[in-house]
Amino acid sequence: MIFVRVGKPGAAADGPVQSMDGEEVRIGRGKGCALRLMHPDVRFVHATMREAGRGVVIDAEPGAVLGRAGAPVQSAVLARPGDETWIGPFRLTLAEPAGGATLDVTQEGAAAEDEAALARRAFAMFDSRLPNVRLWGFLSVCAILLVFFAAPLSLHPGRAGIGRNAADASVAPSLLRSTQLRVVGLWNVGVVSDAHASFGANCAHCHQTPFIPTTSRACLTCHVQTGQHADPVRAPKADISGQRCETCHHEHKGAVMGTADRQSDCAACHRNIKSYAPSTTLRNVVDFGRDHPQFRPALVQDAALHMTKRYAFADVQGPDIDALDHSNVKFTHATHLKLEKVKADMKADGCGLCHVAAPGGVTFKPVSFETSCLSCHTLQFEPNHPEWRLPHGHPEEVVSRVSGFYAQAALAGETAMDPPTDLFARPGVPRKLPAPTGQNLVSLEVAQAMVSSIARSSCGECHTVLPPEAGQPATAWTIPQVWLPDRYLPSARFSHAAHATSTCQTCHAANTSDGGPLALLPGIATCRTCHAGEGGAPQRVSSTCVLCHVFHDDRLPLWNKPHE
Amino acid sequence: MPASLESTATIHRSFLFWGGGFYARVSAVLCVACVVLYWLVRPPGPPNGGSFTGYTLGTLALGLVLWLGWFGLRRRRYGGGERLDEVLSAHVYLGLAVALVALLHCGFRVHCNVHSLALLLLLGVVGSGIFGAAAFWSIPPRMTGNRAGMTLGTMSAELATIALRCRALSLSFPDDIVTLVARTTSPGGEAGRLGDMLGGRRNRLRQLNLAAIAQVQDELLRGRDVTPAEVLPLVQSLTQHLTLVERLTSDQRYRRMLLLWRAIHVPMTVALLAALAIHVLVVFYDW
Repeated sequence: MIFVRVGKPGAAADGPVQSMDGEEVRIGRGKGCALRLMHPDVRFVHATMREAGRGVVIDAEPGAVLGRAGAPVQSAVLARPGDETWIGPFRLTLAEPAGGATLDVTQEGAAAEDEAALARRAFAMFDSRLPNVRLWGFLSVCAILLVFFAAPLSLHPGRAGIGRNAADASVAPSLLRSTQLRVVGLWNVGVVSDAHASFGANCAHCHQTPFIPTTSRACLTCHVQTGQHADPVRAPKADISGQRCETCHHEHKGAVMGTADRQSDCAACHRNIKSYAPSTTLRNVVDFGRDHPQFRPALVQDAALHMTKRYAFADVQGPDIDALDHSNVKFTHATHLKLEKVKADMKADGCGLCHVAAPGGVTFKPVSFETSCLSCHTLQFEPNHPEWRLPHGHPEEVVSRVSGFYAQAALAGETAMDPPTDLFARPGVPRKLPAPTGQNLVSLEVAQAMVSSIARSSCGECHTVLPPEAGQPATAWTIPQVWLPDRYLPSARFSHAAHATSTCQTCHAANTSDGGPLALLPGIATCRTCHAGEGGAPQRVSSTCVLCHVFHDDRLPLWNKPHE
Repeated sequence: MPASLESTATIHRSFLFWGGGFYARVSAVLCVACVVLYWLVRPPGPPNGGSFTGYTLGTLALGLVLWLGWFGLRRRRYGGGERLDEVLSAHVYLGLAVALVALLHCGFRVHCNVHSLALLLLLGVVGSGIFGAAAFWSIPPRMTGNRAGMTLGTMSAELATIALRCRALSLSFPDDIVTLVARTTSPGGEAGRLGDMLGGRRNRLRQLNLAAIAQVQDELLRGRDVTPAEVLPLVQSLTQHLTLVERLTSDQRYRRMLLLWRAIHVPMTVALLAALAIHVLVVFYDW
């Protein structure tokens, strides 16, 4: 029999004495235990206890331990009064025997975790606090100042050495340099245009003085040939010398420069052009689609001097075109395009048979006699001797060539013939051979007659030919120089390449044109079938003035007085 | 307006409706004016900050940002000639407007530079502000309903009481139940995990509590030496514990939503002011 006295938590073992019978007494929390110690640190069945003389022996169950934390034991023998062991927070002390072994059980400390402490832990666990926003703000500012201010400033081309001159821009790219450019680029307000990309990384190239807007002096480093917009004498109000380039041309706006190119910018003066340039022949215009004047083609005034003169469009479409045009060449598309041989030749290349685009595609290469005319216009003058031809482009040699032929014929004993009048029929027309006269006569007179006939019919077929002046030899025919201009509308810049997706006949009525080359020239109505003014129109291309007209005219005085 | 607010509409009026939405209208007019300016006065090339329109919009945006930032100082002091809810109403609506003004200023173009950094920071500040306004609009009614008249302190104290009761009741159960209940009722026992900070704790605590309830109930089925009279009080206490834990985690979530947007809004505003200072300086340095 073991006697047990259990005390309240933290108090002495002053409870009622319980007597426990049996070979072994079980200790634990469970209902099957004789000594129940209710604490989480005590197992369901923690240990067994048996009487041994005047003491007790306590054995822990497998997995459970006795003793204080840090000094666990599996078994404890309490032999003399005062001997003790621990089960969880419970101290088991052997007391003076009172009718048998007596055990005092006391609980150290509080019954369990302090409720207030538990509440504090719960509060801390479910509380919420704002992060240290001042710290984060301070760190953000430091990072931004370092990366976006200090770093670019220290590497800025105006400060550091990189990219200070144009030569630096050609330095082979290295990791260091590309990093520098990238860091400096953090200040770049936008992409530099393609035209200026070669020195675009060098800020100081244009931004020469900090906090001072870019001056035109920087632009003039390269753009020395920039012309005025109008003659500053005739139109002093249109004198742009002294203006800043930046007024109209804006950099850092992407691959293409931002340029003041709106119709309203031009119409500001051109809606009433006489008030800006009283002596001008220009007419007022605001919008291409609405009030642009009809084109005024430039016809050749003097082919030798390459002089042209502007005419009203209606004039060049009329029958008097030959009287106006002094290009000294006679040609009609309609006549040629009807010929079977021409039609056959054009099957492959079309108009490209004669008209080959010049490099750049804006205009066409000059039509060459050798490549475009010679196959039909063979310049033969003696049917029996097709190997003899007139020398094209060298009229001064015609007389000697013809004389030479007849001299050779005389030496060879050939029978001469009367100079035929229909020998030089047009190509494609069946040729009637002349009948031999039977006269052995090769004389200078014949040659002279031949030359006159050739000049009138063979050369005169295509060229303006002038008869010998009074007192000159009968063979002194002259052919004035031929000159055709690149463009008949010199104030506009029309690019054939930009319209290459259309057929030639879309704009040029070649098949029906018999009024000379200028009859092919399309008028403004043709352009307006696709183009409208800047405001646009349904299914029309919105077209500003600078689509066709250039602002800076390189034929005018230079714009050479930069704004300071 | 949320249903819980309707009954108290006469005594509580959201700052969003100050003056019958006066600043909402002011902001709308400002936005329309800026869009009209942007549309009508176009520079050569793409719209940009360096044109007349760009400088005008940029100056306006800068002024607005400085005024909006002043709210951070204004809200910390009492008094003043204007009511705080008036200033807050203006702060919210003009804050929305400044995002549009800044986008028009830059012509909706973004590059890798300090100028676009300022724009992105501005959009971040406005975005977090929108979240904050939405949070202050929708969360307080839900938070009040969730708390049911209690505070964080009283809920924590009650949780501690219930936890101790659960632990005491569990002592007559086998060891595994005692361990499970101790884990369930030990707040912060497994805190500090990343998932916990991202909201996983609510789910984990709930699962633990549900598992404890289920296992205590299973004790009866498993034929252990427990009686329904022992099981029932513990299940009831654990259920109360679960209810309170859910309430506390919801409350914490609400408070975090009311707090954390400011953790972005305020530092980003400070960063924005730094970026704007560099932006203005640099633009005129390389003019």
